[in-house]
Amino acid sequence: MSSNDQTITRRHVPWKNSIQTKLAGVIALMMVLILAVNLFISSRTSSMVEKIDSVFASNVSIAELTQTLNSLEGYVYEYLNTKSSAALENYYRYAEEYRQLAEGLNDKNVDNPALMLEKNIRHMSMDYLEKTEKTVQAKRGRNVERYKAFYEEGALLCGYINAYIYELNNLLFAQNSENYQLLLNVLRFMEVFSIVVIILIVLFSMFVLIMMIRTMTAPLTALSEAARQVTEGDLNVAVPVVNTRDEMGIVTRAFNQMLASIRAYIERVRESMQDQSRMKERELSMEANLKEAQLKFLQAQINPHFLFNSLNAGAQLAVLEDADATSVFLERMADFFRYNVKKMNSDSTLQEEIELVDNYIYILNVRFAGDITYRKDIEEGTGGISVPGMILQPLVENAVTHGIRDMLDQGSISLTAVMEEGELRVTVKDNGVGMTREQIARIMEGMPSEEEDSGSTGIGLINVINRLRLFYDQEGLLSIYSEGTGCGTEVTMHLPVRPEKAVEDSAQMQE
Amino acid sequence: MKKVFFLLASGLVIGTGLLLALWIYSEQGMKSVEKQYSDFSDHDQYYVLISQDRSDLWSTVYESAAACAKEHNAVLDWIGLDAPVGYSVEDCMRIAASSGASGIILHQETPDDLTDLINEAARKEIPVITVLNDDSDSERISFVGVNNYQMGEICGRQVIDSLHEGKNEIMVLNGEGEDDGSFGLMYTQMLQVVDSGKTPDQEVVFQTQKLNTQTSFDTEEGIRDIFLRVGALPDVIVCLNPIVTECVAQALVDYNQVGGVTVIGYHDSDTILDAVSKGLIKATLSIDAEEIGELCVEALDEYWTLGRVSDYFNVGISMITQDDIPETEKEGDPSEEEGDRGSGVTG
Repeated sequence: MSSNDQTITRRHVPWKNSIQTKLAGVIALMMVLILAVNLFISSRTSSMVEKIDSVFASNVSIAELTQTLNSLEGYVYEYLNTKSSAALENYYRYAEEYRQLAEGLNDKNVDNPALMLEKNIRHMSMDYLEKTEKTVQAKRGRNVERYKAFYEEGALLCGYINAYIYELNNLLFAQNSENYQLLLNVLRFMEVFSIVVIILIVLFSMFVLIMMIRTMTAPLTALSEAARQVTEGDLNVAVPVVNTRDEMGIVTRAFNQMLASIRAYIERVRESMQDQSRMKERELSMEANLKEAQLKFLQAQINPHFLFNSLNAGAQLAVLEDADATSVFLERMADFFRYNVKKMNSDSTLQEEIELVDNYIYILNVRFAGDITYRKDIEEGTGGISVPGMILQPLVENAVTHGIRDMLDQGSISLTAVMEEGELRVTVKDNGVGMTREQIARIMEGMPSEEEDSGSTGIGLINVINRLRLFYDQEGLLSIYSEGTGCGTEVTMHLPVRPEKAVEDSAQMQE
Repeated sequence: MKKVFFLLASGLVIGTGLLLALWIYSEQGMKSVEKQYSDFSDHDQYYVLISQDRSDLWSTVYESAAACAKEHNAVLDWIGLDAPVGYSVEDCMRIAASSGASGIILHQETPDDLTDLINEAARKEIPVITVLNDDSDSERISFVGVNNYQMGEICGRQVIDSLHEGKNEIMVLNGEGEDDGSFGLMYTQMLQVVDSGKTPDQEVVFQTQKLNTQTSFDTEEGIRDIFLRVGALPDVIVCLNPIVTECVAQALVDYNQVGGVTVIGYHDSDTILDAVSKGLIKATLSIDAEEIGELCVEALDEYWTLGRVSDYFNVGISMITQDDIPETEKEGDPSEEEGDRGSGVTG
């Protein structure tokens, strides 16, 4: 792990990289966006409503003008009628008010009908105010004809002004109605458009949020799928790399590292086991080679042909010297060793094996002055059965070496061979020291004897057991029975026999 | 995340665009309202047109004069055109003087004496131009009208073409407000032309009649009376007024006199031209209404520019016959027929 990752895993994820921060940020942004849009639409709608409210303001002001004019005309008439100071005062007040209103009208020659009407109204109003002023002055000066004439002219102008105001009012009303309808249509469109925009923004916000959540949870989904595959045994799965520095990125990278570590560990263990296996193989091979080497060494020490020839020569010499017993002994020795070499790796018959045992016993009896009692009971027809070579003599040797060695002339060995239940049972029994259960068990488990016998021919019981197993491809072909120490030992071989093979072998033997 | 940010940015751009469109639309809506009160240009002069004649002739005069006024940096207003109440010519003169007009184009149809009002306007330094009917005793600055001598000659020639053997009764119809002096000149010249152009076997008897063209509907009533008078229908009717011409053409159809009376009309409105194309009216005297409007405005502009102006401007006149009307107008454009249902001569 890099030091950076160590830092991140040891402490909290920086707030700016955290999933929490990202989600909160996006949600806040969406809220702000929706709020801003709402505020904007609200302000626009408010402006539009204000504009609509002001559309008919011009008609309102025109109505005020008419009202003031009519009031003014009324007070002029009242003054002329009653010459009251109140009427005069009101006249002056309304005249001033009307003047101010009139001066607020357009005074320019423009190509706009409504504004031109305003201009005309303004000029006529000024003319009217002049006339009314002269009327009042004439009244105050008691000039009846003058004030009557001025009043009539003023009344005429008042009529014209009212007619113009009426025409202007109608024109403005028509225009304002159009404007009102226009603004109303705009407002209605804005309402619909605003609703559509808000819906679109809300949908868009939801879409962005869903996209963002999917982006954040996609690595989590991939991670869970990868974990599921790992639980099913597939360690070669890999989670797509996430380059973010948030929690998901950390977990994803950690998971990938963990998987890589597990695979590396498994690989190391596998290599170690392979190494161990190779070592064991080599050890076995070495052991086999060693034994072969030992054997070759032994064989190399004794040249079999020289031995045979020497023994035969010795036998012939014994004959020449009339030493018949010696000659027989040497012949039997030669036969024994010839058979030993010839049958090491080849099949033999039971009869041949028994003859070897006979030679062996003869040789031993010569050495030990006939102390070994040897009996055999061989069923007829069994002599020709094919058996592995060098399996009987080691059993007899074992009985002699370990069983009756120290029994002087009390030791006896019996050899029996019978056919039972389709198998050849060959039993070598002695009345020697016997074997304990532990000894029997050691031998059956393939553990070599603790004693190294220098007089042995070198092929032990274990070797016989192994060769029987290899020859017949079966287990349990040899059994050892002993009642205990001092009770002798009985070693039995259970050799499978094929009937046609037995008949063929027997016929060959008879020939 | 990049995809999310790209999506976010795209959404913000589109959203901003939508809101901008909304803002622009609302602003345009509000500005179009404000524009009505601000979309205008200043002019130096303010001229007024005063005429009780609402015929097509004067509509053409007004449109032409208004266009010419715009070119001369002036605004032209037809007083009383859209007024809720009917103004008399005197009312219009007073309104014009009181409104601070810088020039008055006056067409007087009534015999009322407007000399005082014209002079009052002159005292207020408001120049007055009389059109078609002059008030030479007043302080008007100029007169725009037709050459009555020439008019009489043209009409006379048309009358000669309409004469037959024997007695020919010629009726000349005029409006009450028409200037007697102008009419006299025209009438005298027409008589001379007819007298010199007729054949010896042709006898011509002229009569004149004034019709009330000021009060509503009286013109049609007067013409009806003429057509209902038994045995008094003339051979040729010469109309010196557009409304009179239109009423006579309709009366020919109403009283089944098509082909029985030869009509010589006045003005080239669509209704009158339609009647000419159908043969109801033999010919019609066409006054260049556009030229009238232009001459009036130019005269006022010349006055304000130079301080003086010519006393008289002559307006071109011509006689339009059936041959002068293009084939398409004779056959009649279906769309025009539908649009002019109210203005055509119906039968």
